[in-house]
Amino acid sequence: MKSRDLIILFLVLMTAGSCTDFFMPSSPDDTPGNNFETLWLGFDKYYSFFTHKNIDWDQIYRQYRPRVTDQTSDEELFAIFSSMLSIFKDGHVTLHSSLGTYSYDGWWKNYPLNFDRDIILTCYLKGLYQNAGGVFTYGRLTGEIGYIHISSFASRERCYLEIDRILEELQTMKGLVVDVRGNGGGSTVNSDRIASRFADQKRLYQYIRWRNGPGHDDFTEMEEVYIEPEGQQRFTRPVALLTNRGVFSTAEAFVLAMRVFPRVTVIGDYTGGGSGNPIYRELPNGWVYRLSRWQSFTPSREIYEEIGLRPDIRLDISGEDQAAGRDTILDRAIAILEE
Amino acid sequence: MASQVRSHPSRATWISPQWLDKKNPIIYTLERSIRGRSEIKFGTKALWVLALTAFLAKPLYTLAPDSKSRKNRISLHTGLFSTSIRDELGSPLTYKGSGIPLYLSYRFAGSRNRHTAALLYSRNQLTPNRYFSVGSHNMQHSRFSFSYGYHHFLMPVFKNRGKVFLGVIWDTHISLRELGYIWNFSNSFGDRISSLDASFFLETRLGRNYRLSFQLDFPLLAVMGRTSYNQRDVETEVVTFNRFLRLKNSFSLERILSPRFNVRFEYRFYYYRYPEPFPVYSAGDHYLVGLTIKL
Repeated sequence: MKSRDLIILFLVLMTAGSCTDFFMPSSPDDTPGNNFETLWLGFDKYYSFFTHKNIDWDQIYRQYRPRVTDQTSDEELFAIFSSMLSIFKDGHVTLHSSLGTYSYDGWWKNYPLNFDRDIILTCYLKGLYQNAGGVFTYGRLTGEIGYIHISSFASRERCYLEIDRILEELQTMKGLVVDVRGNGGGSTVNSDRIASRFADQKRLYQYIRWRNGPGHDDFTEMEEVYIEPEGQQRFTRPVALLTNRGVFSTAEAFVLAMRVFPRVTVIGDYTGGGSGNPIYRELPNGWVYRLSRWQSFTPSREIYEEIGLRPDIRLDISGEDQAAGRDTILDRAIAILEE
Repeated sequence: MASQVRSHPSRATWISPQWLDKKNPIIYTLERSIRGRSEIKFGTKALWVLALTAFLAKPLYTLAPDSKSRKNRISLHTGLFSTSIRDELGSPLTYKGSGIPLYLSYRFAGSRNRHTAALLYSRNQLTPNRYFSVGSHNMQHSRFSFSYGYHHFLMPVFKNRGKVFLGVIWDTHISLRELGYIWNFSNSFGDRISSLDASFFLETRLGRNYRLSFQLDFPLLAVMGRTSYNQRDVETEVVTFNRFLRLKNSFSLERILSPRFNVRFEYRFYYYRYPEPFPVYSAGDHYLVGLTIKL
């Protein structure tokens, strides 16, 4: 057999075997209808709060599907999708497109802010504060009471290792104010790391269950989530934990963990009520959406999605205090810690 | 507001960095690699494979029952491959891409039986092959597979110029994928399959200097694990051939260069499909060329 024949034979065999496109399903076409179907089906299959929020998703389909035709423009489609997703009133539900981003901000926007960082830095810490890791602001409120504000749990993990150095500096304090007001969440690896420094013993602080089937009420069994003491530095003396409606998602998991410790008092407003660990998915046109896919519960198995976590002491910053450069919530925290 | 990421040390987990099992070097290396943080470049890896080949050559030579007949063959291949993946947990789109694989194999080619062990590693970037006005999405994909097969001679064909073998193959593969969206959003997925396959193997000589072979594998029993609905745990199940569809085949053409060396061209194809509820479809073509050392 000649070499040329062999090469031809081999190429024929290789070509015959190139069946990738034959076997693989093709991507859905980028049409308004396909984008609608994909979005609707993605929520139908993965979203975790249909029953809790009393949403009839089939009815939403019947209501919105007729509005989408092949002639629907991107602008119209984005408006239809945004309107449809606003039904959820879920801060974890977002839609990102070239035209803009839809997100629900009702979890904080309709409530008092209850936090003014400038007042704390200028009137309480009197300029004597430090920043660490890009997320911590800390100092001493009095000779015996320390203050730590944690702005986010979304930075790199190594940023949160700074907590040990901060606690070492504040180790002589009689009490500590831990302020997470305005903290929109991040990773529970980070929030658990911080909370573990305040733990007196291993404690159950949360239950979760995941959406895991086609039915809207298909969930896994409840998983128990624990927090336990860790780290070089620990602080188990009294702690006042300050919250407002801007505390969301992982920051709420942090509040859940902290409030199971007996010497922690939660003061301020309800948290934002965003408990559904989200996942990103994409549409045939490249737009990306996000949805909640688990349910989180308190240790007493109460769901707090959209409701928020109730503080031990419910308090707003009064208008008079705000005008006078006072933080009502922080004042109460100091008073409690000084008792 | 940002996404929550869970860490539960009590659960068997993989894929995400916080529960990455650093005691597992394969997973750890692939995970590092897929996230683009691997400090070892591709070329360096190739050198490591070559060094490993040289390291293995001597003991394999001494293990050969009849070293004069040179029945032990070590081959190192590289070339081009293309991959298509659709993982419906992450995207409704099919992602495609190409890259350069590394393929190392050892064969014992006896007259009545064959033993084959093979390692394959590939890493590439896949795209949905579609223009998005919002920007480009991509998937970083790493695939690692190991297989060991035993084939037994069944009958001669083509007037004794060819042989048909039947056998079984133990095959394990790991596929790790990070689907990166615009705005730096990303999702990590993966799957692993260990299967016992029935295998058909045909080899025939073409002229004095060529050897053509064809192999087709079909899984009988498989242990499959894939990213769960929570992207943290692995859902593992044992499935039989009626639920798990996978095809693997290869054509190879070997040119005898000398008593010690052959050059080998190989085409490999695979396709597999995970069942519901979160189907994964994956297929790939590998076009390989390599050098075979006969010991």
